[in-house]
Amino acid sequence: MVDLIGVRKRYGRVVAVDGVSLSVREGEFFTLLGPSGCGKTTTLRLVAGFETPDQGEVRISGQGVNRLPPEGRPIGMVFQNYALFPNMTVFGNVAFPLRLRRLPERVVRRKVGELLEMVHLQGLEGRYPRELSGGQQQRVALARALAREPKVLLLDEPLSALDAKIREELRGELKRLQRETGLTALYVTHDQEEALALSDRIAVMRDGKVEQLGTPQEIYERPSTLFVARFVGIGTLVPGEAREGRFHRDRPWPVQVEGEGRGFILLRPEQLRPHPEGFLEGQVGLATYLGSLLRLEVETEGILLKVDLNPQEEVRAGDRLRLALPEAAPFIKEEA
Amino acid sequence: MRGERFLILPGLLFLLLFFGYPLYSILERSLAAPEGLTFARYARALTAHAYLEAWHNSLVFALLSTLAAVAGGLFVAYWTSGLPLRVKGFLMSLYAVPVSLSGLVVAFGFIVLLGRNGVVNQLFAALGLPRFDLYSWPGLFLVFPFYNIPLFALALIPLLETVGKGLMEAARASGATPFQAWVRVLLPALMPGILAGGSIVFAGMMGAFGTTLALTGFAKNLLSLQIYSLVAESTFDLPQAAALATVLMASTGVGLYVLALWERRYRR
Ligand SMILES: Nc1ncnc2c1ncn2[C@@H]1O[C@H](COP(=O)(O)OP(=O)(O)OP(=O)(O)O)[C@@H](O)[C@H]1O
Ligand SMILES: [Mg+2]
Repeated sequence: MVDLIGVRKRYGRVVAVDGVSLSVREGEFFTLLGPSGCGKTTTLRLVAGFETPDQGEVRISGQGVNRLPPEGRPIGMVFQNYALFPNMTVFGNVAFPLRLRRLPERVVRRKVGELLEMVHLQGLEGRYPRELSGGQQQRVALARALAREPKVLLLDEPLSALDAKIREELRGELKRLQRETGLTALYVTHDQEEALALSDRIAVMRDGKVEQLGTPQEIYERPSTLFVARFVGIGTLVPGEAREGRFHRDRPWPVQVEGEGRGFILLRPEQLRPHPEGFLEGQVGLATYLGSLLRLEVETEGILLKVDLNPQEEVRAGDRLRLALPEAAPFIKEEA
Repeated sequence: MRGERFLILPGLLFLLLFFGYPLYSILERSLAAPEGLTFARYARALTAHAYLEAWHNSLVFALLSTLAAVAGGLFVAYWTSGLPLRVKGFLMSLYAVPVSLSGLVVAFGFIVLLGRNGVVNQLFAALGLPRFDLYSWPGLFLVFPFYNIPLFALALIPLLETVGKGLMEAARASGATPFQAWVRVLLPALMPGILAGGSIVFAGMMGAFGTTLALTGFAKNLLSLQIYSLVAESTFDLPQAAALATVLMASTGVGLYVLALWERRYRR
């Protein structure tokens, strides 16, 4: 549905997007994930038509769109700061794309009604944007983007200006809407949790390049680089060596790995369990109660392991603990 | 909380001293007569042909100059706000130059450039083109935008950068051409700022006389020049000047009031 082929974009000396190639499938929720300044927004703007690539090609539905302005591309866009038209009511905002298409007013009214129902804003037609909460404003922006009946919905950190509770609520609704409409979505965020929760596939970006592309499970369970391992999820990277399918430090560990040579295994906190005959023995340095879980930092063999326990467990800082390791763990080779 | 009210006292005092008092003394002078009050000067101000013509000229001149400043300023502001950061910073400091120059300096600059024997007219003459007359109404119209457009643009650029860019993009992503985005989204959204900026330019133009005086002397009949001549020339007549000043201020006030009403419609 959206294809980027070797796309590059620079601003002066900064290379914002450095040879990105990826394909978003029809009906897919695709996320660009990465830290600040890695080129996510620029990539999205290249698809939207606000920027033109210096090299490479952007295609939508198989059609090269490099020369098309945003109004000529089959896109709808939602911005981080909502960007609602302040001089128009909710109705006017959502009707704007429809009126541009010169639809009869009767049709406009019906469609706006449907869209507002879809985002649960019935009854607020007459309000002005500044009379709405942030969450409501972003729903209007979403309805406005959908009003154009785009083939691709582009979203640039649409939830990051909202507070945690509303963010999670709207996140669920966004996913539901995208499922129901079968719309292709290209989503930008620096929030890895959001990316995991929403996406069918994720491209993790770093310095203008795609570092890893895969499903949320692949990204979380088998990060291919240290950068991805550190950026996505919580865990401990344990340095050592892979030999004959097993991980070694000063002694062999009962952990299967794929690969050979020096590198790291990634241990997720939920994979480590206290067990009387556990392989590792350590001392709890820090125990933090987080409501749904108890997060420990356990010091063992010169490593600080993050371990998540049931919040009912009675473990305190200073306690000694044996930990069982997972049977297998992702192994990431040391970067050259 | 109540104590905070006293914080406006210094401001109030300042206004009273430097705005209220001069205003009062002008009013008083325009009405004062040896034996009480007189409206004779106002009668003259509102009936004498020369004054009526000056009043009319001033209004038309200020209105047209404001329109030119708004149109030009909008264009310049939009163009500038889209430039790369470094160029933009340089241009913005450049725009501040005419705003801070004295009217006389500007006038002489224009005389050198566009006067009878100025650079441009020498060039025109060499090319066999008709000479441009700086000392005519079109000449004056050319000079004032030199201040007003940068002034207006400077006021508008921050607004364009904060809300303008996002709104333009949202409109474009909704399917609007740049023109449609301008007319249907950007202009209405900027209207309060445009009207506020327009008010400043309009008020300034109603009272402007330094540059005009330097260029055309008293050849052009403007209310501000009439007042100046009554204050500073052999026709010295302070009370009549005060009456004309009151008329000028009232006209400006009405103009600003209309603009403010218009602005309120957009702010809602
Ligand atoms: N208009 C521009 N002019 C100059 N440099 C730019 C411009 N836009 C982006 N950049 C630079 O390009 C790089 C990528 O920027 P981009 O906005 O795409 O990052 P991002 O991943 O969206 O970051 P964030 O999470 O902070 O939004 C950054 O180094 C940024 O400074
Ligand atoms: Mg961004």
